[in-house]
Amino acid sequence: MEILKLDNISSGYSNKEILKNVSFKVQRGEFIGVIGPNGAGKSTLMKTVTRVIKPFKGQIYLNNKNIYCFNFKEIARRIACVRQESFISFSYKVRDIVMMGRFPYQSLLAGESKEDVKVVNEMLKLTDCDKLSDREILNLSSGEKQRVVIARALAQEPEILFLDEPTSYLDIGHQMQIFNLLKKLNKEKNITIISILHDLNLAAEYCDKLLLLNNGEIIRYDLPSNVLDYKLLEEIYNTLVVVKENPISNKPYVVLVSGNRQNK
Amino acid sequence: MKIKNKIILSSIVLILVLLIVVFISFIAGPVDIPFNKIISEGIDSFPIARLRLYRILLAIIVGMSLSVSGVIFQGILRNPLAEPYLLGVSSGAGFAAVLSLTLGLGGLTFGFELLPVVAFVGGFLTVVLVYNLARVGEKVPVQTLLLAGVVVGAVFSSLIMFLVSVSRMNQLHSIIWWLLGSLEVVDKNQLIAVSIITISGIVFSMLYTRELNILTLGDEPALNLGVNVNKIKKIFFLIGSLLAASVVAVCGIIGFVGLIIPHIMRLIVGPDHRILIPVSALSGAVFLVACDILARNLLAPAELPIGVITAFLGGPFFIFLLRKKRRIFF
Repeated sequence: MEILKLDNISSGYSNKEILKNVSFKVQRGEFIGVIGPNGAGKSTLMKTVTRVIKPFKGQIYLNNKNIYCFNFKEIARRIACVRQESFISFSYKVRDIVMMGRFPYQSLLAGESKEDVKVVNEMLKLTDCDKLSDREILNLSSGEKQRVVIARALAQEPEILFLDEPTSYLDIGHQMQIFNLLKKLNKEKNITIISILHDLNLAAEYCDKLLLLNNGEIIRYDLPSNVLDYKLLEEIYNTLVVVKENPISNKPYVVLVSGNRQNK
Repeated sequence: MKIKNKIILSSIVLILVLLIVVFISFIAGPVDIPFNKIISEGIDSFPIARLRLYRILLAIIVGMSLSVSGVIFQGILRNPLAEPYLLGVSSGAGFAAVLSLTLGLGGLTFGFELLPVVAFVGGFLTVVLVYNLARVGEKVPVQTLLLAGVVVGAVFSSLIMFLVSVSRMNQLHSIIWWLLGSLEVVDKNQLIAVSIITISGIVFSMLYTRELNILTLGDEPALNLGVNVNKIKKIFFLIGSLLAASVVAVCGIIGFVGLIIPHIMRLIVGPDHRILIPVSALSGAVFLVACDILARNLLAPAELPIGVITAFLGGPFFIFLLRKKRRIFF
């Protein structure tokens, strides 16, 4: 069943069109990686689907309903976002930050319900943040902060989780930790995950399908083994690569070729 | 401790402190107040006591108003230097007031005094001007807003200086006194008006504290968490500006309260606006009543402008804050 459908979307900022006539569908429960060079329109795509910017033309459907037919809280109960590193400058406690994820379920005058507390505790545990819950967010490491932001997004109990390079500041250990968590959520809770990724190998390893963007257009939207084609990558990223197969997972593996070797 | 208990406990403590400060302020002064007689005969037969009581009430209201306005602007602008006058309220109101004083309209009344109304309108219109100068479509970028506020403020300040330089000697005194700020209650109706605006402003902002908390994460995260960012920001701009404009209209410019009280309270109770707004309101009241005790008694029977005391106490404290790391602000 398709959960998200973009129909001929053009989008961008004031007068500058970044995305051009983009159409694609996402099935419920899929794990999609969005890849492409800098300036390809990946973040614009995420902002457009999450209603941060309005498309110039085209329609976006969530469960066959136009996303602009939902009110602010309704959309937040269905789509949650995790950004590169959320800039939090106020010294809130971790639990308070995660509780903010329950905002779309709260009415103006009612306080936190028992259900809210239950969900927050569950998500703290799931993301391994339960030991951090009384710490101040500003005193955490980047990896811990990112887990808290994911916990907050999960507290929204979304159907779709959007991530914008969630692990770009993290070491390989924490990268794997976060992606293993995402895979688990994807499998166990059937959350549809759409993540922008720069690391092509992470993308190949974890995603069901990859969406390759360049200059605001979809170049290819297919299985990782069909998207990570060395000729295509060399053309789009303008560099030499070799695509091999990861011996453990049998997924495609992209090897970079450095400049002085290219001349040989 | 649960947030509700934390709010109740800290409010009780602050209300007790406020009562003590109010009592001291009431009995301290160049004229002795016969406290026993007032209780038995009623306050109306003691005009000095009545004036002093009004003045204390005004100090409470103004302290609350400025502090909450400061909390609001620091929250929605996510800027530690934000304060109630940042968007040009004070210079706009000041210009309007000085202009009408220079034109000799200062003493005009229509059943109410004209001057504070003119100042209120001038202050509020200035914020509307600044807001619209900075607006790009639906969005109001923070940096542009701050710059627009500073620039518009500077223009109005220069106009004030121009008016001061061309005004006549007999007008100069009232202009200077207006600009210095004072808690003297000339008209009971002004006290009532500013009280109504302050109390309703605080009640309204208490309704949206959760949204304000989420807004401090940034506009885009707030939007994705289900907050109608543009609407909530507009509501808080309106409340913050109305609070500041009404205070400036009645008391002139009283600096530093709206800047330092929110910072001190954030250091003590944390950044959660559900508790930050009520405790800032109460401690702002305590601070201003206490400053007023000093203003009335240091050089008695002469009176110091209240702004001198607040800035003299607030300035060094603010420098102390600046010397610390940036992160302690929030």
